Amino acid sequence: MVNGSVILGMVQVLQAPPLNSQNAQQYLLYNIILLILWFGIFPWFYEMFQLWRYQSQVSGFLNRLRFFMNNNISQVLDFIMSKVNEDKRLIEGKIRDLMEMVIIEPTSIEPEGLVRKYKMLINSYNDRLERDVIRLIPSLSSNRPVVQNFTNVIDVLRELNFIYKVIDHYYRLAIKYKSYYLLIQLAAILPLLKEEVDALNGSVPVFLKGQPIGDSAGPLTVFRFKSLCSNLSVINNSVKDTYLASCMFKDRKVYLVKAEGPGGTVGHLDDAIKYIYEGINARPKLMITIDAALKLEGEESGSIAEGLGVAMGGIGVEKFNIESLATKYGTPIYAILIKMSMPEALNAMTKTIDEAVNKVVERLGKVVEAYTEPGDEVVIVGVGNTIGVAQ
Amino acid sequence: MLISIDLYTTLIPTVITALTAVVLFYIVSRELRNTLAVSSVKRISEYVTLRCPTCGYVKVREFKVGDYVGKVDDEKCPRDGSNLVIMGIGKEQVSA
Repeated sequence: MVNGSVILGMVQVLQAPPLNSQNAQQYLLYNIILLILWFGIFPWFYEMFQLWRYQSQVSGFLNRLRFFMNNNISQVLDFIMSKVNEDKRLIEGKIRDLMEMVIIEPTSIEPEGLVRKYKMLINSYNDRLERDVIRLIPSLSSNRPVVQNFTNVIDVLRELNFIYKVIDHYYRLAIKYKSYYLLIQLAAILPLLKEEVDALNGSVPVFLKGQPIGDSAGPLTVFRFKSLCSNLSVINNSVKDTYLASCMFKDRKVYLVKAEGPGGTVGHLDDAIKYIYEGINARPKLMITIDAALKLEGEESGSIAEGLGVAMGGIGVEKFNIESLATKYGTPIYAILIKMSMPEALNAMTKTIDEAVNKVVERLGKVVEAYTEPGDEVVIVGVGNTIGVAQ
Repeated sequence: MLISIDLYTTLIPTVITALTAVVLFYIVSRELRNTLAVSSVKRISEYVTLRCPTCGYVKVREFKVGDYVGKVDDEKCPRDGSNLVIMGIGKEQVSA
């Protein structure tokens, strides 16, 4: 049933005087202006405001990154000037040249021999960088660990410089073409980049001081495991920057492999393992790799995960070679991972990670006991940068 | 006394303004709290763990440039006089 007041209202509307022509024109004009405001001006303002907001975010990030780079270069310059007596601007120019060094990846059109090409390229790069550092600071030539640490610093500066240049390139493109969506994409990845940049920035003083970083957890595990072994003997080998030793643990012969410290290097673990199989003719029943692994957001730092396969990051050259050797000789590969965030992996080792290493040493003993028999041979590989960790 | 309040010209703008003010106050106060919390944390201590290779005596001291894990330190064990060995280097946040 229709309410009486509603009917009354409808009657009033119908009885209202019609608009005259002037009023109708004003009414139309008013609606057109509103239409232009809502669909033309306001979205344009909104987009301009958003563009300005993202632009300021990206330019703020670039300014911050530039400040970090200059600050790190100053630290490095102070370090060098305490060792050599040369023109500061000349040294800075040389550092900036090293930061601009480019590595051209081998072509993958024909994949045959690609891993060998990568390995050659990485070795050439490391050698070249070390020689450049010695040329920069000749007084360090007799102190290899410091040269290696300094090489790591140059690596970090190169990485920061690369991030800066790439982000700056897309930022300038976005401004040039007023590309709203390009800026949105840049702004979207900024939080992740900020974390990486902060981690890299924090690692420079750590590398200069030669402190162990989170990534040193693998080599540190091998170092601490040594104290559980008996009859330790170092195996002399021709593998550069790599430590190889054998010892007895619960009647098993254990081969210990890690990068040779305390200088910052990851060594050539694949070559050392090849030497165990083909130089010593050992036939290990188990290979265990220990490495730091990036944690997911929900995971706790210092948590430990076990699994199968080679625990190793990087391009994958050494991983490929170790997998090939293990497959050729039928050795199962066991992995122990110590979880940490990127800032933790690149900065001075935290107490949490230090304590996690002790737990991994315990687990390592249990794994060797559980999966091998007395008399068997086992390879334990501490993967990672061995900065601040000797053998 | 009857006060007439127009919905579109008075009430809605007032509500929107009040809500904006509340949100802005919340954001600013949260940022301020975070800043204060960060500034009150704690200096980072870099420590070195030393251990006697013969009796297992453990000591912790501040990190010095030149220290590395595996280094035989100049410091002697108070129990048997052996040189202590650096077994670990780490950092932790401590109250200032």
